[in-house]
Amino acid sequence: MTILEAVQVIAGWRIGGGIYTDESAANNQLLMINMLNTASRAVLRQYYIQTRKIPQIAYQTFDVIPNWTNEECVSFTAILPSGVMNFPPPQLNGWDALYLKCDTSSPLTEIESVQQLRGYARHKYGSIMQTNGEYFVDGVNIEGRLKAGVKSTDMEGRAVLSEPHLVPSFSWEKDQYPFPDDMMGEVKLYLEKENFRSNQKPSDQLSNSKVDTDGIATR
Amino acid sequence: MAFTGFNFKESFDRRIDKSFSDYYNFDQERDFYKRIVQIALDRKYQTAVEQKKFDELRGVLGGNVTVPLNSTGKVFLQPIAITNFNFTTGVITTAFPHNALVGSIITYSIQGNTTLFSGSIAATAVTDNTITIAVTSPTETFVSGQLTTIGTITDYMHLFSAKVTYNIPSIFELEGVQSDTSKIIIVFNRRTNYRDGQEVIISGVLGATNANGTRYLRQVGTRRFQLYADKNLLIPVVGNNVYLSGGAVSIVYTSKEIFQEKSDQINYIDEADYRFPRFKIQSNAIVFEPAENIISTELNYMTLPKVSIDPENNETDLLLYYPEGMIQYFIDFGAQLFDLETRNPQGYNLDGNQVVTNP
Repeated sequence: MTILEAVQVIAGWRIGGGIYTDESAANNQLLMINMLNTASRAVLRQYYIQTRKIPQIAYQTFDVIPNWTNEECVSFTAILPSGVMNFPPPQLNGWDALYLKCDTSSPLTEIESVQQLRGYARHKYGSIMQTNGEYFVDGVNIEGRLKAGVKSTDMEGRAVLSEPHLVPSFSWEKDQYPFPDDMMGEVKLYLEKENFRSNQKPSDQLSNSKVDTDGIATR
Repeated sequence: MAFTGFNFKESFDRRIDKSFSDYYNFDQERDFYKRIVQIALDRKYQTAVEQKKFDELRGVLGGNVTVPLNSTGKVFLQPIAITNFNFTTGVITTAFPHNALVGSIITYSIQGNTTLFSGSIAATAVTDNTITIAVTSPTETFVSGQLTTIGTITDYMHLFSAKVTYNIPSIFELEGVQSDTSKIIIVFNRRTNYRDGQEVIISGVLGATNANGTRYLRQVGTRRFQLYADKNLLIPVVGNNVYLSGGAVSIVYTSKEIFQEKSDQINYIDEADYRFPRFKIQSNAIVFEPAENIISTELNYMTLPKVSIDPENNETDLLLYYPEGMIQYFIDFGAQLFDLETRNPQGYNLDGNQVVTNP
């Protein structure tokens, strides 16, 4: 389903006592998109922990516009469309691949830190590995370098993102939201659990110590 | 069978079980009926969530009224009051921040101490609360006045919803145009979120000039799109020349229906954008944000009554303006108001039941 259809579905669940039922109001739409992203990513993470797999639909392909940081075009930085999702090992994170436009035979190799990037460049196996370069990501940026002799102007990335709707090439009206439809039920369970907690806080509006005591007891 | 203002008076007098003319003259009756209609419409609007209410209000529902907007993003909901006009300099001072820009056509009506000045003219200079027009008459002094701009509606009562249309420059740049005698394909510099049927406005293409204009896209690659002249993608645009250079793309985007924000909680972290525009009603205007690149709005609102109920009029058929149920409601609800005016608590309670019967 599209992201707007997913928002309609969430509105239909009447989560949190129905306070977000007016899905046509823009602020509620944004709120529900944020709820959807939070919940679907949490469900994906749990699914990965249980199965060590990530559903293919969760990956998005997007352009990476490199900002070359020297004239030889070997080092670059680029801005991510949104944060890459975090997965526990053995998956490094939500990345599948970063590859050069028109040359997908050898994607770039992902590494964990700047220190590793620098060390990797000097490593004795660095020059013979089947890779076009190395990169690492933080929440906002991609930083990397291409192998000597490799020239490219554009790259493409494939990853599981924490806010899929922020990818510029993602169509809200036509594209499938990158999450399996048949796992939406788990999104509902997650949201109900979270909202159940927030709605069960005891009220202090009544100065009745028994009510407060009961409330605390059920927390 | 027609139901006129005169018939309304007869029914109303019968309903309140006394001859209304014993208490008021026709002018007072007209005012009272106006009050009935206004408050009754307000009550229906407040509870307009079910089909019955919309059906009863159908004569005063202004649907899909398109109002052009300029970069102020404002729709004025009534004529703008003029607080002063300098007959020497031509400077109008308005009571509210107006929505005119330099060159905007304004329609003014300014009463001087001897002459009424009225007409339509372009504004030559503006500030937030002033508009300068090329009208002077140094011997006059200002008495009163009002003006309307193109972005004004004059029959507004209550809003239901609004859509906003923007012309947004594409964030994706044209990398090239492939033009031949059977088709034109445009190539963007990167992946876009355009899909089949996307409406775009292309301008500034040199050489293959047939690409320019309002076009519809069919996706033929990740970055390549064939141009069509129609939304159903049946009429391909064909090339008339070899592409030389240039070309910019913009999209016309109409938002979904939006309503007054019920809560500002999300506003702390999210800014309005063309996909999620917002509005506020302030200073007699609906002010949309963002106003950048805004073209027009489409309003669904309740209009002012198109006819007033006149106890002396036996010609105008009210059934052409209000459905039968609504007129009955005016009578029932009016009877209750009448009880209020005549300090009749017993009648008020009785007539209250009738309003409950016909809510």
